[in-house]
Amino acid sequence: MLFSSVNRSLLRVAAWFCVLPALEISAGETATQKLAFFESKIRPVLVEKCYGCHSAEAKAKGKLKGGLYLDTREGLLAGGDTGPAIIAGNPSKSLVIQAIRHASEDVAMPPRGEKLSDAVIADFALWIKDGAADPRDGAAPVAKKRGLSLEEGRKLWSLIAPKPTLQKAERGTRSAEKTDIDRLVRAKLEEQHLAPVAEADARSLVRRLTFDLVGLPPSPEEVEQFVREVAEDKERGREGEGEKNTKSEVSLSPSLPLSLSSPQAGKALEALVDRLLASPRFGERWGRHWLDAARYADSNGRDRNIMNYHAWRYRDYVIEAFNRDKPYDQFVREQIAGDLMPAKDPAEQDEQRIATAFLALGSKAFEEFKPEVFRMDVIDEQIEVIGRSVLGLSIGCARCHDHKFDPIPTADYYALAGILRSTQPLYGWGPRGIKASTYLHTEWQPIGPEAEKLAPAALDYYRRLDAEILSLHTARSTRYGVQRRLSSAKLEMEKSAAKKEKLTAEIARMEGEMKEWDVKIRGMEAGVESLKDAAPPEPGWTMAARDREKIEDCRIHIRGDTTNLGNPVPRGMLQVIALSDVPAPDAKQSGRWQLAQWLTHRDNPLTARVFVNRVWQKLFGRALVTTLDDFGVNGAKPSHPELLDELAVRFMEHGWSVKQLIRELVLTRTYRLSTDANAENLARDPDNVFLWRMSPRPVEAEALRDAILAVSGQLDPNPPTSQFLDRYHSRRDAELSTFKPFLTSADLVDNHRSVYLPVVRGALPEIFQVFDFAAPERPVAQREESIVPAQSLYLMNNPWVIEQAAQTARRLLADSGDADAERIARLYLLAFARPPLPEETSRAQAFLAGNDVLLPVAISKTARPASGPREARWTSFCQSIFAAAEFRVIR
Amino acid sequence: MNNPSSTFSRRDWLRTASAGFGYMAFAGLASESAARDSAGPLAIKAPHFPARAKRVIFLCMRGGPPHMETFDPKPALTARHGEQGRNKNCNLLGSRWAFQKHGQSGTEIVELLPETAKLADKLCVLRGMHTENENHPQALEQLHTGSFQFVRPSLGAWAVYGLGTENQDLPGFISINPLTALGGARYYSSAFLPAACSATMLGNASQHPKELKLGDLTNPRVTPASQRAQLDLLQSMNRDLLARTADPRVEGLIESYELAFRMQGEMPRVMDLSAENPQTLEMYGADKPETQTFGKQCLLARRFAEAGVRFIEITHTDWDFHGGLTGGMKRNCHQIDKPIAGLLQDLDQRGLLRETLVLWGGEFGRTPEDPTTDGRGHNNKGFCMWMAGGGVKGGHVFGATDELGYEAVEGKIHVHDLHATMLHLLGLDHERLTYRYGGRDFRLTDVKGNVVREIIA
Repeated sequence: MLFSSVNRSLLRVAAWFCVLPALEISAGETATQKLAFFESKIRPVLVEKCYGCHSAEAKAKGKLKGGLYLDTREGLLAGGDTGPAIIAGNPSKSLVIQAIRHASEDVAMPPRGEKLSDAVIADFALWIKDGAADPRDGAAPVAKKRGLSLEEGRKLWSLIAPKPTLQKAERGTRSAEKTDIDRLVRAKLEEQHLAPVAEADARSLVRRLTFDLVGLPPSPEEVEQFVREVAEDKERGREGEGEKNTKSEVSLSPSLPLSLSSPQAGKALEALVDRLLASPRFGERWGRHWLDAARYADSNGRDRNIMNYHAWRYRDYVIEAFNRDKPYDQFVREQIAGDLMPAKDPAEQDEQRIATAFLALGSKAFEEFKPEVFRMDVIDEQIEVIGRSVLGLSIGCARCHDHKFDPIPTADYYALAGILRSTQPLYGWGPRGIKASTYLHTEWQPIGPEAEKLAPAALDYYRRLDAEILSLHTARSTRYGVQRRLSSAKLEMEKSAAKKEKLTAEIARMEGEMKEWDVKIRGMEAGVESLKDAAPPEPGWTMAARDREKIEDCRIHIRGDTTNLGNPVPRGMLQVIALSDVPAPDAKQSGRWQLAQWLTHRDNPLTARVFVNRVWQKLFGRALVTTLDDFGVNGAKPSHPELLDELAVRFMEHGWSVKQLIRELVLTRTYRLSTDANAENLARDPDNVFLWRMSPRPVEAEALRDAILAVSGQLDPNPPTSQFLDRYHSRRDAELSTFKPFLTSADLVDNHRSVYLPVVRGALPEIFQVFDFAAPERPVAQREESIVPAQSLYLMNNPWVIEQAAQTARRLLADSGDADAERIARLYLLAFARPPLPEETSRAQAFLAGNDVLLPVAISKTARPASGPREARWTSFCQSIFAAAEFRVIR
Repeated sequence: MNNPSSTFSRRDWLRTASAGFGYMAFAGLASESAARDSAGPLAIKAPHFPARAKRVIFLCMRGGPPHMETFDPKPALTARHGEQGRNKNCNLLGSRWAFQKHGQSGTEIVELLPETAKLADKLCVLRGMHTENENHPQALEQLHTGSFQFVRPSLGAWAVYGLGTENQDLPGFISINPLTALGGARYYSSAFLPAACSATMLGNASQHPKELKLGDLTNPRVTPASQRAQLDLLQSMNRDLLARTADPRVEGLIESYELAFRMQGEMPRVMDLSAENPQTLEMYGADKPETQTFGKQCLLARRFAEAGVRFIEITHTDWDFHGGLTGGMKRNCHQIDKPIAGLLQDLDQRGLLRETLVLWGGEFGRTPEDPTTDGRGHNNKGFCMWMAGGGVKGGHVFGATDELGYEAVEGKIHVHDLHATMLHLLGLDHERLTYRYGGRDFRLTDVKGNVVREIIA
């Protein structure tokens, strides 16, 4: 309430006046008098009001709050999480005073309506002003900095540069049985007394490889070809089998135990791997993994779901980068600072600019009306994505305080923030037609041969469009104001006859005004509409980032508060990874180029490790460091530190080639192990930490959808030639203001690979929602793996699934020459990459012979009902195949 | 076994537990903590201490109902009606409706809610509510998840994570008529908690508030018998695979299909209101056109509660009265009054109220002043909610806003405090109910929240 708050602050001022004379006296007081003051006025309050949560006793009871001890002098001076509790001699800078005054909600103490009286607050202020005499001895138990110091931090395993585990001479003694990687894995297994299981059969392996490398099931022809090659080889090379296959589980005939000790079989496998790595589908699979980490999305999300119209160029850039095996260090540099890198031609320059969309794709609080808060939030998001995706560190914690665990002081956060503060992300337009938010508008980056020629007029057009929409909105709200005044005048007229004459004139005037506005607004609406239709020729656009005109250091934001600024911090990198040959940015540079170099420096201990660990997780199910984006103090320790280091070093030595890394990993014996469990190993290492088998993994959302489409024959394997969103939504309406059903059902009408479906934050296609797609709001290192009834319901009842099953049935039945047994075999090959066992064939035949009635209900608008009970029954069978565990798991 | 990752990582947890199914077979083999969790997120878990409430029904009034026109009378505001408010363009607006004292407690309730008023002695009115943000989406998000900056698990998801659920044929968290537009899904998500903790949504407040259905719950093409035949085929394939591989994931999928099939039977059964007698329908107002939508939803909530669902939420829109306050309040209050009274009475008669915590309220309140001619602005500094049943004091009023209703001044309850208190009533210590994610332990109340002991019976 206004008055009471005024009164309260008056009181406070009054209290200060009362205090002043006392202060003068106190200067001459003896130490004894000061201590007496403490004993009579301060200690009782501390004991009664504060010790409950801020004392050794509270700690013992598990009730300590904020790491703050107020029961010792030392504790008071050292303070808790938010810094020293008092600064002797300076009450207004002492946190205790701010807290007991309830200066802000965050630090109001004691909490919840137990505010101390103004007199007590004045006592505390006086006591601190007077030097905060405090006789209480005793060390504060743990009131000290909790994070690692920089020195300690540099000793953390992940911050020591990886060293090659194997000596040069030891390397490359690769045989099909024991690659270098296998030797390192084997060493751990032996240490743990675990014996690896046998290798997978050829069919499982070809299915596993095809899903892992390109995200699709192998075609029956591909399966058969591989099996033939290996089988032919087996005839010749049986005597070469070194390992004894100890298959403990029921063997699946007609599977072929695959032992690649013979050179021909090894060649067949290498040929398969090389073919998959060379396929354009490879980038679609592995690019998507990076898009998870890069929190890629086609819209902003949150409350103003602005479309990221040109984000797809970044998506395609990522896919292309993996297909062309762009060295990972270059890939990272381009995303951080591509616009600042030299380019051999304009096309390369455009590509590098597109890469910087990485910095612009974050979900932004467009409803934030404080420009500084908005700006720092954008920067925070950028720091988070760089930290988690590239470095495997959560740097964001240091926004408000020194990192509680990792060696990242707040100053480092603001050193990075300065770089990004000097960078303008180009995400396009914020919400249109809101005056207060015009500061949110940015441009897009024009690209293509005509960029320079066309961009000025096109950008000008967008600004004009914006201005017109804004004036239209302003006009509408002005008219609304008149309307309100008019209606209250009419109300008043009913009440008081006295003012009738005056009011009548008033009403008439306002009615006239309303009419004028109506005409004006209609004109403006028409203007906006025609402007929307009159776009000038546009260049290509991309989201991007570029240096701002004003390059500046960022000041420390005390407790992250934009209004509480400390000293500026020179732009720079994390101190804990000091790389002397990365120069500091000069006054004209944002520092992004230096940041890019620092991130991808050979001596940066994190970047290569973090990436090879991600790749390992995708291929083996369990990462070597299970906290993929936390390599800090709280992260997991590597299960195989030597292996991780060896992989990181090799990756860098091999020019950061992702394809070579993947090739090396999938050609290990470790990768070829079957998923069979054996009870003894399972008891000792249930999580397969030591890689005694291959871990079975779920088929992810996109791969599941693509696989269903591949089996039904409906998949369009080529990239789409136009963008889904462009087909449904005009780029000139920036915002998705309402829920659009077409978005969540995009998966139903588009048969391209799932990576090309729109990723609209808050409106993901249903199959993505149900099957644990990476939530695109934040960087995701590893997806959820859930098994929930909604997934079962989807596969049992979803019309799209049933439609795909029907398509499959038709596809199989179309070959009228085939007997049912052959059709069943074909379906098993398509879906499981293996022929059925005899008992499976007879079970399927028995099901197909069943005669219960399928209801003739159309399953979707486009679907055609089954032509008869036979097709219906086949549909039901095909659907069971899609729902089968064997279809949903990579083994 | 010498496991090098000493911390029990999120991924380990997921692999052993969040899947929800399938790891039973290995429970004896895994570490003790894994074994404890291996029952899965829906299995019943013991609370930290004896619970006062077994479940929650949250009646979410989206938009921000005016506290001064529902449960927080402001005679001073009425007296000063028309004077200038804090904002120079706004005049103070007194309530158009009178308040009367009700019940033995004399709790004051607006005349627009005559049926609810009859149950005044059941209500514990919290007049000192406050929250941080005055925009709908953020305030709603904070009300549901404690945070408006980050994606965090919903209150309901935390409850299911902490306690599991009583009916294994139904989801543990159900949101009726949820808000799905503009990021609404985040209000009900499990975020980093196991996916099985997230809400199953019925209907969609953004589209067809009257239509309540669960996606893909039925297959219109097949009879239950022929679907069972199909499922038998599927499950025999799955069991073969399980026999070959002993893969717990396969076991999980088998169980998940069975639960889905059971849900197909159980959900429609619980959702079928035709079994209710006319008196009950009348009690909820489910028989009258104006009250039937919310009435049926409240009845459904009671049925879910009875069937063992842990957390049930119903959303009623729209209380965002920037204009049209007079008509809107009459309409909305009429729509909710009878159904809420019916719900409380029915729960009470069935002995469920004492173990069911009912929470009513919106994301914030409204200003005492009027920026238009018949409306109020957003007010996050002071508003009211009420609780009933589940271990809270009945006929009790706690906290207060200032005399005009601008700000909470006494018995202030932040949303974090509300959450801490609700978990406390469920037998959960909000500081102990944590989940490790991304290297840190998260909790619903972050680093805040105090249990409001004054309102606990």
